[in-house]
Amino acid sequence: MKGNHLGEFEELVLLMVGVLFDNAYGVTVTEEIEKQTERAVSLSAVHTALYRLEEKGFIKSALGGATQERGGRRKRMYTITAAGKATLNEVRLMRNRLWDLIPHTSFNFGQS
Amino acid sequence: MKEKQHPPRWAEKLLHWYCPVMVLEEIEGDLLENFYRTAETAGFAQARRDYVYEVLRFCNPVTFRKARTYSFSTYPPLNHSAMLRNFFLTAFRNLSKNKTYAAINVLGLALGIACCVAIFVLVRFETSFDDYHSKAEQVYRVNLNQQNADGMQLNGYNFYPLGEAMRAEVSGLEAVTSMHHNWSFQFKVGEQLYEGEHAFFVDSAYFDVFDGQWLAGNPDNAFDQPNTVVVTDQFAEKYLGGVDKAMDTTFLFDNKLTLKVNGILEAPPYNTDMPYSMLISYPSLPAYVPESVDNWEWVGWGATFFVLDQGLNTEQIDQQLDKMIHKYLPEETAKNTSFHLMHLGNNHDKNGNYNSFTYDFPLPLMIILSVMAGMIAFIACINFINLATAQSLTRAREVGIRKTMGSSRFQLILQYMSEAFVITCIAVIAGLALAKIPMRIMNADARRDYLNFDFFQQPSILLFLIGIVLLITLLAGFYPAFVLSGFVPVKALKGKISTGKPKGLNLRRGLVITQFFGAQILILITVIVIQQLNDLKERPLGFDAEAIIFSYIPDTTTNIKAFKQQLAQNSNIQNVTLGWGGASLNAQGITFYGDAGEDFKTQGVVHYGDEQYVQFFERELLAGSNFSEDQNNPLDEVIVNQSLIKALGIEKPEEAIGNVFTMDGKEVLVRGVIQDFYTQALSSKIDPLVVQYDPSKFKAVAVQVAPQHFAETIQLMEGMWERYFPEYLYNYQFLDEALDRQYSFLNNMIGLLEPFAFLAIFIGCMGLYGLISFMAVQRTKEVGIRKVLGASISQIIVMFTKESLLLIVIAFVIAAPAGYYMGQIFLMELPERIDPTVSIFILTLMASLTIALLTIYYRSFRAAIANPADALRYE
Repeated sequence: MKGNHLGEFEELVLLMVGVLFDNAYGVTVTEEIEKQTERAVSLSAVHTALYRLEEKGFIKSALGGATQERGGRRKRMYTITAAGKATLNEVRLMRNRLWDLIPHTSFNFGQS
Repeated sequence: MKEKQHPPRWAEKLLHWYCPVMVLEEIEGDLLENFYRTAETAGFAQARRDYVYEVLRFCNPVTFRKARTYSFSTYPPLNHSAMLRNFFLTAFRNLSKNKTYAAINVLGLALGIACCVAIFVLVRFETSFDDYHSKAEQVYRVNLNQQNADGMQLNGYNFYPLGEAMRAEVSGLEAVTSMHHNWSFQFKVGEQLYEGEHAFFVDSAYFDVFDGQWLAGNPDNAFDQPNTVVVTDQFAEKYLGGVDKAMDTTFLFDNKLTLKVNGILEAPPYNTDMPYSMLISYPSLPAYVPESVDNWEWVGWGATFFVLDQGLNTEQIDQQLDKMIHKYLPEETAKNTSFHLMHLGNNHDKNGNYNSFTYDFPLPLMIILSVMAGMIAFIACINFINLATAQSLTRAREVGIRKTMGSSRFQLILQYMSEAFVITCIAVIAGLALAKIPMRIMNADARRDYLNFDFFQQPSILLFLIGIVLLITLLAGFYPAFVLSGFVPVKALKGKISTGKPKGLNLRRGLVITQFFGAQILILITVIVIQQLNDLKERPLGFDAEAIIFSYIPDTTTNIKAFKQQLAQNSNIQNVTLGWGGASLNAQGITFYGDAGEDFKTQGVVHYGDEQYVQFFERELLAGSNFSEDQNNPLDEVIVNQSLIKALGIEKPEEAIGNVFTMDGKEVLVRGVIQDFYTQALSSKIDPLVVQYDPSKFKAVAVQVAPQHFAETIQLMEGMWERYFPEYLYNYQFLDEALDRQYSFLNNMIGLLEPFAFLAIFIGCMGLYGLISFMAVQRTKEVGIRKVLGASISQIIVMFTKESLLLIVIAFVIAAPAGYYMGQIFLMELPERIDPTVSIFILTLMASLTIALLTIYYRSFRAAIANPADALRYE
């Protein structure tokens, strides 16, 4: 696959799977993203991202319980894998490193 | 406006249609959950719009890719194997519950399959002739076409020097081989005489064209010297004391050649047109057939084969051969002669009228056989369909319950198909066992063990069986599966599928008509062919063939007169004659004659006979005189028949006496005129006939004996034979049997048609029996009520039988013209066709009605005598 590359949306979805811990599936992830970021995402986009993440080995899935509100259909529940966590961590560290590299002055916009 | 509270149906359907089943559940679940969530916040209208949008968005490659990665192991599997096991279990249970039904189906299908297998093996064998040679694709035989007054004469044999000339003058050939074929011969090992079949004289190029496995000897020079022979291991084993001892032994061939064994070959496989027992070196041929040397005018039993260079086509050879015709043949014959190149693969099954060395098996005959076998199998399939649909009522409840329990229509179809599959499989096994019987018979008929039914060696047979199982399963199971699976569960459970007019009744009627249509056509054709044969056999011969024994006599003329005189002195023997071709001793010398000095006017038959000929065959001498014993110039004076003098333009027999005409380039004088009689077995044409007194051409001696003296006469003749012709094996045949053999074509046809016709009507009747059985069960109550109300047993039997009989009559009305027409096609080859009489048709109809009646009578009788109380009680 594309290696460890993580798109922006994928990273978001991966984070949400981690956040939701044992209740992560298509709808909850969508909901959570909408709640946390206040941006509208489509269910299918989330699904696609989830499938891609699973292909890359960052999350794993199992079929879980059915509920009445989904017409008795089972959910595919996702959990984050060790590789997923490591990648998230790496991304974060890289961000931190980059943050540290920004010269202090560049934050003083408007004040020359 | 009341908003719909569920997602749009069409979008759901769309999703179901495209979405792979592996991910459908989770996607649909999420979609639905999302739908209700959206509905709460934004209303149903928005939710529906979103739903559609999402459904469309889900149709992307990632979804499909994902679905493929979920295998059964990660996705909790549907338990397919358990379901299939259940299907087979139900199938077996259902079969054992309805034993009659199962037996009729299995037996019928088994018979059909046995026919198909036997015919398939036969066709496979007959089409595989000579295809085992490594160069088979490039091998051709040079056939000969000769135009004469009667039309084109086609010949598979050719001029003897042709091979040699082709080798020298025709380019583009890899190898050319000449051979001479000797069908039957006698040979002498030590002091013991034997008879043999299929000796070939071949040159050293033989093995450049054909394949063979050498066990001993040198293939390169084995055929270079005269008087040498290469025998097969079978021959060596049987006559020469084994393969080890056979080399360098000698034996006497047909009292003419002393042959020394200088090689041993593996016996050729059965599927060859050259089933040689020995290959004699070509240089030995001049001593055996002196006429063969450099003779461009006479065609005997010599054939020419060649291997075409790769990439060439036969047209290039044709042109070169045309030049050779004009170079070697006399001018007159050259313009009437052409060569025809026939591919080796066509030699056995598509050789037209070019004769092969053994027997031909024309492709159309194979097609007819295959069609008939297919027809039998089809009739058996119809039984299956009929019985299954008739049974549908009893099984409606089962369908209802299965559907209520969540079975889909597809699964039900699968179930009934697996039932058909189980029956077909059992039938195939039974059919294989049954197929042995016809194959045994066919083996015996051909007097050679050619149908080796070893289906592990023949992958094609295995493939054929698999194919036939699938085809029959589909054919037999498809319709019942659809009908049965189509029941509405509520109605089925309530028993609402009415008994009055069960679904598929018209279809069943149609199928029964089809069955009897097929069966009656076969019967009609069979009867027509039998009548034709009888008609031909009853043609007056003019003499009593039953009382005649004949023997082929040796070529030497020395002792024949004395032998004949000795025979004539015996009191049991009423008459003796020497001759050849006489009244169908099964060989006609064909020759040309015309007016004096004019060749090729017309063609006739020459018989050779002595002074007893006319009397022996009870020919009435219309004018002139018989041959006399001390005839001076016997060759010049001939006896002719009425047709011949008519051809010469003479009206009255008396006027013909003393006339001179040309025969074979020689002038002959008419000495006597006899009455016309049939000269050929399968022809209505009476050929012009010449009887010639030519002792050198006599090939048989015929004696007339009262049947009660047959045994002692044969013994007497054998004793005398040993005295007069110690070098030759004694042989004898009964003339009536020999004459019968001339009709072997028709006899074989009847032999093939009869079993097919019998099977067709048998399977049809089995189906009829099954149908009546089901009718009887279904109408038990009706019968009970009728009886209570005073119906008699015979009335009830009539009730059951009248419909079946009506169906058979309808089938007959369709079959009669079809059978008449096909019978005519069958007999097309015969010049004198009978016109099938009305009695044939009445006979066929009566026969099929009687057979059908007998079949159904028993079952309907049982239904009729049942106690009405039993039938009505359980209500």
